[in-house]
Amino acid sequence: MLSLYQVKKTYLGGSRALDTLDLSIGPGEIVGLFGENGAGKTTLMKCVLGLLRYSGTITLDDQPITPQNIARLSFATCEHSYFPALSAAAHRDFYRSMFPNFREKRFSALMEFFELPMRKAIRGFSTGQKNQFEVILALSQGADYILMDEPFAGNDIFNREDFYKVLLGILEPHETILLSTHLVEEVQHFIGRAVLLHKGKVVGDVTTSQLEDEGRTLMEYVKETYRYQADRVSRALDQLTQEEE
Amino acid sequence: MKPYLTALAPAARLTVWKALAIALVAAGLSAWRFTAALPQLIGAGDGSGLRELVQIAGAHQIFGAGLVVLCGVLTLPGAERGAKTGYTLRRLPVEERVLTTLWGVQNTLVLLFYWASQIALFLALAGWYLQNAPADTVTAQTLVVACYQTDFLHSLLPMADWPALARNLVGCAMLGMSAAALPYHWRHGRKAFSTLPLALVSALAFPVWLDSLIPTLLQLAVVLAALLLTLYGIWRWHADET
Repeated sequence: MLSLYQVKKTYLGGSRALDTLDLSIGPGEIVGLFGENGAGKTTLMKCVLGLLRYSGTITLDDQPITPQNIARLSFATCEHSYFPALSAAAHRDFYRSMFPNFREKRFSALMEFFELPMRKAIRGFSTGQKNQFEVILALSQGADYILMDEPFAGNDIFNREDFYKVLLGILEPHETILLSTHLVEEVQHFIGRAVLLHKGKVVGDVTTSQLEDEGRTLMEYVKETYRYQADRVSRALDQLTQEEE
Repeated sequence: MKPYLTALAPAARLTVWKALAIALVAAGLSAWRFTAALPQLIGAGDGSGLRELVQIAGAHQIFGAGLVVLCGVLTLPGAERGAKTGYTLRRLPVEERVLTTLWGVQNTLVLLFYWASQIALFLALAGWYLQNAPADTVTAQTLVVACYQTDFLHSLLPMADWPALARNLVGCAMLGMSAAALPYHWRHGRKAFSTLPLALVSALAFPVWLDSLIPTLLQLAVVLAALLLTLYGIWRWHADET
């Protein structure tokens, strides 16, 4: 269980990115993390990984996250975290040596599926290929908790669809995904739970089966939670038009 | 220890060939300048021809330029260029401070290799000079005399001058550690810039005379202090840490 309790993060300058946030994610869950830009999605992930200083408590199976258990977490980010000058084969060797649970078979299968070159330096990949490789590394590390921060930014729709299908097909029951994305409608059939952030707080937390029971779509739930005003644009346009007249 | 050595593998992979290339280019340039100047100076007695050759060939300048470039190259694998490599380095199952310190040791070994390659080069060039010079102008002592009388050669191969030898060794450790510390601080979003200025000063201040004990000891004290400060910078607690 990945648990965050009363987690606060304030950046230099005083902006509060996480505000007494509580969240628990159990093994095997596929969780979508949603929120507007600046809601705290990336900050949350970075705090979990120990990349940012925070106050509060973050534990993995009741243990603090340290170099001893951090290999149970992997991270795919749109900022990319691979070594650009190294090839995919060199990454495979590095991950295999560094992470005892490295899934070599999964790595090879995904590399083959996405037709990525093994011997070319990653900096020579296209943007889409870089994203794919970033996600392949995170999925192959052998982690129990796989954190993904907008990993498909820059990939086309078909590519993303392929990835969702592959993910559902390869994940083992204990593997957990925390996926931060803006693509609400696209991932609604892939995730099992949606967590909504707003100004560093959890403002919504629902399972997709709950939504199904209630006969609501994820997008409807998101709009309702954020009190989305559908007529906001038309009102603004009307106002602008009146001013011009 | 094994996870640490494994964690250093990408850096070694990205550095060794470049270091070798820099050493070869520096050696090639020095050899080219040396051979170009050789016909004019061959035959001067008491090793003065060899001394002048070293000066005319610009051996110190080439060595210094190679050192600065090498220090730049050593900082690159840990720096975040084109990707946030630090996200991976900081979530490895190793303690980042220990990793950075060992990274500094690895860099030190690369710098020692560069120093050794320059020694080997000048011993080879001197041997070649001794073979080509008229027999009556050189003796078995010519090379030793040149090493004692030429500040650059003396610093490169400081025979029986332990302060200069210690300065070189500590200097390599200081530059190696600095090249590991700089990207470590960058990965944490801190401002740091020490490596290249230190490399530049080290390259400029490298030649020392045999009898300059006090200046050499002073240099030793400065590089030792810089090494200790660099290590302190890595190991002290920083306000941005969790």
